[in-house]
Amino acid sequence: MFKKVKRFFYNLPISIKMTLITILVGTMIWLVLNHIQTAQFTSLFQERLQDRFSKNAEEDRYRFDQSVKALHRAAKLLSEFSPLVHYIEQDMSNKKSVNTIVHRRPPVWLPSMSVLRDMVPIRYSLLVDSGLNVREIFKTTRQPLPDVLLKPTPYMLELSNDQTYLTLIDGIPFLVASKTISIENKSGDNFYLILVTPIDSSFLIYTQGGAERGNIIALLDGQDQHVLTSSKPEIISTGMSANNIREAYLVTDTAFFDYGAADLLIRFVSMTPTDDLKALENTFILRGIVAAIAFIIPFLLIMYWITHRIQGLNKRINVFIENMNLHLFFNSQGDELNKLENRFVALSEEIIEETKLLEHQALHDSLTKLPNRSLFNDRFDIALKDAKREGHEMSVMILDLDKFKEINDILGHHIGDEVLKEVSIRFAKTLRATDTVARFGGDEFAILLTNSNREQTERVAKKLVEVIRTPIETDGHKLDVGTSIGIAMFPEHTKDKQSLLQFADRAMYDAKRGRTGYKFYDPETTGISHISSI
Amino acid sequence: MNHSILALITFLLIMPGTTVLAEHGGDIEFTDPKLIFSMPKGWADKPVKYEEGTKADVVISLDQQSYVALKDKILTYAEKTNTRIVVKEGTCGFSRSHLEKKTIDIGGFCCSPGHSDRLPDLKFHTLGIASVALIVHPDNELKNVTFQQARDLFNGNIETWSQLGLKNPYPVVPVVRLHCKKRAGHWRLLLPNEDRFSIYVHDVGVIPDMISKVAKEKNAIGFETLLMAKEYKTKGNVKPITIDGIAPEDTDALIRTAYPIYRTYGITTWTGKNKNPHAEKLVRYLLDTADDMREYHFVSHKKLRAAGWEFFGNELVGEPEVIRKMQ
Repeated sequence: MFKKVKRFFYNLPISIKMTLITILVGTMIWLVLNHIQTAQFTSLFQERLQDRFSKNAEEDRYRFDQSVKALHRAAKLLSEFSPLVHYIEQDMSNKKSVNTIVHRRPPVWLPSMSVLRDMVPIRYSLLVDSGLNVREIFKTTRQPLPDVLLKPTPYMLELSNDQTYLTLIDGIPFLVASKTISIENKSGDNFYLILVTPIDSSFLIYTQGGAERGNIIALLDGQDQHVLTSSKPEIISTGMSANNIREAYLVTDTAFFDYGAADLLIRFVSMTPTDDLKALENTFILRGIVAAIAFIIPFLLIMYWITHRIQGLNKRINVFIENMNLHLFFNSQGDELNKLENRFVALSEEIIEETKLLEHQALHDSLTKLPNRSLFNDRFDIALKDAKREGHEMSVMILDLDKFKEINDILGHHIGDEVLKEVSIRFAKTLRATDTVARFGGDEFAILLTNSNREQTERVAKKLVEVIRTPIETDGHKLDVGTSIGIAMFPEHTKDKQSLLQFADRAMYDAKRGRTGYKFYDPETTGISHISSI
Repeated sequence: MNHSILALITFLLIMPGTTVLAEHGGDIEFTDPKLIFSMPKGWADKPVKYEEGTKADVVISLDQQSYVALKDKILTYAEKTNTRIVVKEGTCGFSRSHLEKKTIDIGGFCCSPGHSDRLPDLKFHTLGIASVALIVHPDNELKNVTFQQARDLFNGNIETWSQLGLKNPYPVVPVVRLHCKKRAGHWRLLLPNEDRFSIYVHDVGVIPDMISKVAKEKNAIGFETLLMAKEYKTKGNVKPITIDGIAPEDTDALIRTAYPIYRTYGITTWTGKNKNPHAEKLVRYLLDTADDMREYHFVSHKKLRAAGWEFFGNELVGEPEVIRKMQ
């Protein structure tokens, strides 16, 4: 299965292959980068968002804090409000009734609603006598005053005097601010003004200047981390766990307030819905995909351009092979690049072979495959140098076939050629690998015996004469061919290359004339009869 | 001019004696330890009972500052002594509330106790004091003020930076956090009550906002302990300045009362039948190792005693031979 897939992939066009690789690798890189970047981005984005929102959160806190503090400032201010002082001094001090009077409109001892409204949303204003009886209540709500506030304690008065006292009543945080009313009466009894307001959603919305602001604020119980109240109860409801909030909202900041007297620790939380964050994350991912596509498209265009050129090159090579009439064998499987590589390898091997053949043809006789005169001369030069350097002896033989002309004339050139081939084989078999036998042309051969003294040379000469003397059978003919060998010795006869060849050549004529088979050059006798006959 | 402002002005005009007299909310530096707050009948007999679900040998509620300084130390102690200790983070007011409800063994305060904190059978132990630094924006060229200038910056007598000889001609933006108004010490050592502060002060509600506001507003001046400035450094950098040439880090100067504004850190234990031996041991440990908190520029009760500060039992109740004359 794997092999099939591998083969399938191997044979796919390079353009498709690269496209697949680009998409695959690109997707993998994108996924990894996206994972890292998204994590980093989310973290960074949250940090930035928190930076941005922390300023809003500061403002939220500032507004809330000012509203909370405004209650005790209001208590301070209203306790010195002259109609109140006058009312206590003139009316209240003399009334012994303990029945609590409830007002739904501002009573005479308070300023008008428009003034009260601009202080802080006071839900309950209580007039309390020295016996801690609530004599009068002005309430701006239909909700009844919590029972616990109908019986204020000295403890509550102390804690709420000159500061805002935060207390939890029936699960709702309440702000209480009290002040002793400055009056002059004969009895010396004190009267107190107590202002009360619950910190509910209405209060939070009021502190933030309206519910339309994007931020949501909530008060959490600092201990069990549950929502006490929020500015958007339809979203963040009372009793909701802090963990649930953190899942759905980005908590931009939290802080404790310290109002000096508090029955509960309230953690003020500013938050923003994470929908925006998620939307921004999606935008980021979308941008990433667009960026990836933008990256892939130019890459594919480049790949197309490259593969197009490779395909063009393949075609040109094919045309070249056809024009050159080459019969190349190469693996035609794989993509364009594999094909190009295979063609290149086959073509280069072909060129190497051709070059070797040409080189061989230049240095060898095409009929007998023996070295030609040119190669013989090269080897002769080298052998002569070696012999001179090493102080060795060497010999040169010139050979001519006897009766060859007759065979050629009578039986034809093709028989002559067969004779020449057979003679060449016999010469080569007789000689050592270090020796050289060359065909100079026609029936003339030359042999170079390196590191060979006269005695050794003579032994070789006899063998050569002997092997050629054995009849040659070809095309139904049994032919007797002999050979005449002229031999010149280095350095005995001369040290000069040309002279050695000349001496061997002359000796060959002497051998032919004397039918002696072989003849060593003799400076005294060789060539004399020949010269005289000329 | 909108309707609401007109209404407010009308109200102020009809109100006789609109001058709000400066009044002290009690003693400035320390309250009288002998004046115990009166609680309802039967309260004294009430035993300490932890909040539902709390399983511990000791429950302690700490204010924000002590929580940062002591939490790790207490938890290390708990591990070493195999004591189950629950540490709650809160505020001075919240510690007081827990004590009043008798749901904790130890309450932590970063203010000298107010009268209403002195509950029956409650004993205060001062761990030490730490300077409250005057802090400005890092770009502010101000480096030093006299104590009088410091007061004037917050009471509105000094309105622009140029009045201090600085090139900056812009108005001073005093930032304050007037918390724990009925407890002694802290900001009240600068000005004795909130009525003494300028009409222009920005009164922030929480510590991080103090740091943030001063760090962001170039013309701001505020105050906070170095511990909190460090704790909330993510809110921005602020620059502490010297008062009469003395840096808030200079604990020796603080000991000899040459540095004028400081916080008092204290913890409480119950006496009588609510006495908890585990809590006693923990408090003894914290008192014994109070010198370890030098990194917070904290002066231990030991050093204060040695320098002649006045103690009532374990509670710091007076400076040595110094009478502050508040204006």
